[in-house]
Amino acid sequence: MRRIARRAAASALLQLAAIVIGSGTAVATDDYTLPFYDPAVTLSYGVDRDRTVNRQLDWTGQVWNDGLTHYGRVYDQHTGTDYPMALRSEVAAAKDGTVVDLEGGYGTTQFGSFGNFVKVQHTDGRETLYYHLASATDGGISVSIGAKVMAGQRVGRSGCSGLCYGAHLHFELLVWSQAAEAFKLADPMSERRWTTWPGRIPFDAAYVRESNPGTEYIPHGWVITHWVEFRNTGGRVWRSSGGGRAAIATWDPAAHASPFRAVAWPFSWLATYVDQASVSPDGVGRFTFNLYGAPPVGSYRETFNLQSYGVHWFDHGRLGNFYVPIVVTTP
Amino acid sequence: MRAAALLLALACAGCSSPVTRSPPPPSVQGTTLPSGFPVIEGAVPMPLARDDPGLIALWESDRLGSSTYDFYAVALPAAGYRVIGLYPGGEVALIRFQAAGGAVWQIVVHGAADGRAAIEVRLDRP
Repeated sequence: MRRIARRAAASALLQLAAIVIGSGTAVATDDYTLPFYDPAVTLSYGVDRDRTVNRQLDWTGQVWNDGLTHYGRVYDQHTGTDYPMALRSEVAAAKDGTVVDLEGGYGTTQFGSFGNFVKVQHTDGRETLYYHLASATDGGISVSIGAKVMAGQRVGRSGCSGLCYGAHLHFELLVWSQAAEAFKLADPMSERRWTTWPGRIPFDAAYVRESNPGTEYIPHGWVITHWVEFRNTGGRVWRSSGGGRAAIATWDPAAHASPFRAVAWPFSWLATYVDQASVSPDGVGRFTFNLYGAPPVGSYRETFNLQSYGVHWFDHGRLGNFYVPIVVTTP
Repeated sequence: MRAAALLLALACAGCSSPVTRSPPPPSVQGTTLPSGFPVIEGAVPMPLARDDPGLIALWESDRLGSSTYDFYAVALPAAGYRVIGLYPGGEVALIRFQAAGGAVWQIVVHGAADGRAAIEVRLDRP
């Protein structure tokens, strides 16, 4: 069984839900994506958009005239969006930018007024803050001040440092206010700052079809062409050039030199980049590459995964564990 | 639910905290905390406010931060309560779970006066 049908059905349901809930379809922009890689992560609490004590305005627009805790919505005076996740989960930059501040000296679960964080400044003048991270010695900080980060690049790992009750990521979006001459809180959810609505993780894909869904028979020493299509179910636009371009590369183990690599492959482990110049969220990208029958006559299987080149691997399981069965035959 | 499972898995720090069986705090409006309900070690039962009818039980603890939340994320299912949702946060954590008879209750952990943590068991509310 090469594909997991259940995945496809679940993906279709999610897309339908997005259309129904979103009063609109995915918007292909290079705006913000969710700052992590696991699509199963849900929201604990969003921003309290009303700074009055005991009066809360949540991300849906509902007002709560109390100081109570409203799960999935808001708690009083909350300054960011909280995402539950296991300790040391990967945290991603929500957009291209430059690291302008960080702290990594607190223990991974050290309680207190301050904790570990990374702050990134973006070219639109906004800043994003990733808070409660694990300690630097525990892998909590993956970047340094002044480093350029690409959208979807890992900046750290989650923890529960600082003012924290249960492991989660506290994510803030800050906007420069000329009037106040200071950064002010923004709410990416109510402002619909995500590239898609509802927000998506940066990199995700679902198998669509391929040129030959069965076994490829390659005469020894010959080259054949194979293509596969994936739907872009993540939040980032796939591009064929530039940093983070969408690529298909060998997997299991990751980035191994393929015995089937052809001359046209950019690297021994990277078969090709996406055919189209860009593929927006919900679009279908095709990856066309050659397979060279170099190994001796016999049966093989080459496993592939998608990668945002130099940034992050996709979740291979969510791609349907894609591989190509290959039989090298006598020419 | 996958996130919930992950959080349950990670919460092993709380596993090491022994479950103590405190006397059930006073009931409110007929709702009584079942005997044997898990209570984190060192928690001190507190009187319930009359103007908070949804509050079933209240303790205070000197365990700040993640440990109390982690404890309940593990201890509730271990005691037979089905966890419905986990909502950790910066200043508060909330766990929704199914109590006996199918009613949904909440554990709410947050900072209290004098630098302690408050642990509430209360009827579910949005």
